[in-house]
Amino acid sequence: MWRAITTILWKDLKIELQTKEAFSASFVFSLMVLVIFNFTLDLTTEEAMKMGAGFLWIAFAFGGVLALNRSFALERDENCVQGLQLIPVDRGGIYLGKCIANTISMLITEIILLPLFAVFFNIDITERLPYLLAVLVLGTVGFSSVGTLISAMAVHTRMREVILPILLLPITVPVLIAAVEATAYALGADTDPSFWMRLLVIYDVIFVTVSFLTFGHILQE
Amino acid sequence: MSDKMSDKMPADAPLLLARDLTKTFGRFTALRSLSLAVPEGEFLTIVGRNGAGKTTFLKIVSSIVRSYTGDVLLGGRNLKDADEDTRRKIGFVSHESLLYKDLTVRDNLSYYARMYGVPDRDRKIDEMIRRVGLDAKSSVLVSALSRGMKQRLSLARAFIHEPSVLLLDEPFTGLDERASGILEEVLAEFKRSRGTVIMVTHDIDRGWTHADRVVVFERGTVAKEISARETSLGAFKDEYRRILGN
Repeated sequence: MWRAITTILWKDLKIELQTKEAFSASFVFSLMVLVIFNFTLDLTTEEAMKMGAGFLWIAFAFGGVLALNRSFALERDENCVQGLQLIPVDRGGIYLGKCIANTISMLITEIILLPLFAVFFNIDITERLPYLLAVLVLGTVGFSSVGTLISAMAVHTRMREVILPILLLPITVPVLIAAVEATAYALGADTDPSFWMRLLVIYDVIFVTVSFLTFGHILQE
Repeated sequence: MSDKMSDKMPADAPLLLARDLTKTFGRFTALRSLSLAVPEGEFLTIVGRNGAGKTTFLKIVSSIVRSYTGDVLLGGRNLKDADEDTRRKIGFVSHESLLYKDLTVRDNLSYYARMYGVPDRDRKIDEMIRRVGLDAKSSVLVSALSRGMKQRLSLARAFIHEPSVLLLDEPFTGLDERASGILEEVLAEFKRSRGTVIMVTHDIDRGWTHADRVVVFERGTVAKEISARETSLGAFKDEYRRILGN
């Protein structure tokens, strides 16, 4: 299991370092979302604290979809997905390797976007930074856990680029709402985030477990 | 075991045994109660028209397809609940390379070697790269290789974990002369070392070259089995044409 996780992680990150395709697509898209919101809405700092969290997660979610689409697209060339099916390892390990690689890739984009977001909306993100980072990690794990599974489901379909957002976004509504609420607190809003943080943790545990257990069936032809 | 199967079974226990395999895709039945035994060290060639079930059979034996009825036993172990060691015995070569174009030659082999838990990995990778004549290309991205080079690398990929059963799905498709030569060489050597081979092909001449036995698939089942040692290629071709009805 550990061998499968580390090898998939090594392979996916190496390909991403080589091509930077997932990063460049999701970063440019997410940045454009933030830029457009910033220029369209003339918000005070107080308004931005409340609404900025929503803008931030819209940018992360749609950028994330682009990154997740890429995750199994690279397995389609030369039918590498068949290579995954042949390998004599626990397929749950393949899922975890893919999920961790996608989470890392999304988190890198998000962490680079955070200071830009702070500048655009004139928000001090350092005040509750550890909390903000914890929300980012929990929200991203929830999003990529489901996204990795659906990306694998979509790989054999004709409309794969369309299927991922259609299935992923409704399923991740709870995690996105929880992440927005918890991020609003991290940005300085006067709210109680404890319920939303618990929801994020519960969502992550449930979806990582369910995806881990079902991935073997999803991967087979 | 079905009566039909016991008729076909050799006296000694086969290395690979397919029993009453049935596989459907929606309304289409790709395999119909197909049974086949392959003894250790045999080179079996499977021929048949498109849609006869040849590739589906290989995909089941290689564990790519896992939902089917019937059983496949490899060394006595059912593939449905086979452990890693049993599945590691299988090598698979198709006309698709199963290689990552954005990784180098060495990284691709390193990936598969890690996944198969190959001991002394670096030495084995060097050996395989040399064997397929890609020494000068080990740091080159696969996307920069020619089709023939990719196929040679694909052979190295399939052999990196030293399988004892080799499954080949149209392996000669798209190969250049050098790659075909290397594949022929590798197959001959594999056969000498008592490796078991199942090759699916439309190229009857090539399929006949190494074969101990040739099986014709028709409508998802075995229509004819012929010993390549006891029959001439010409006689087989006549019989094959008769089965196909032209």
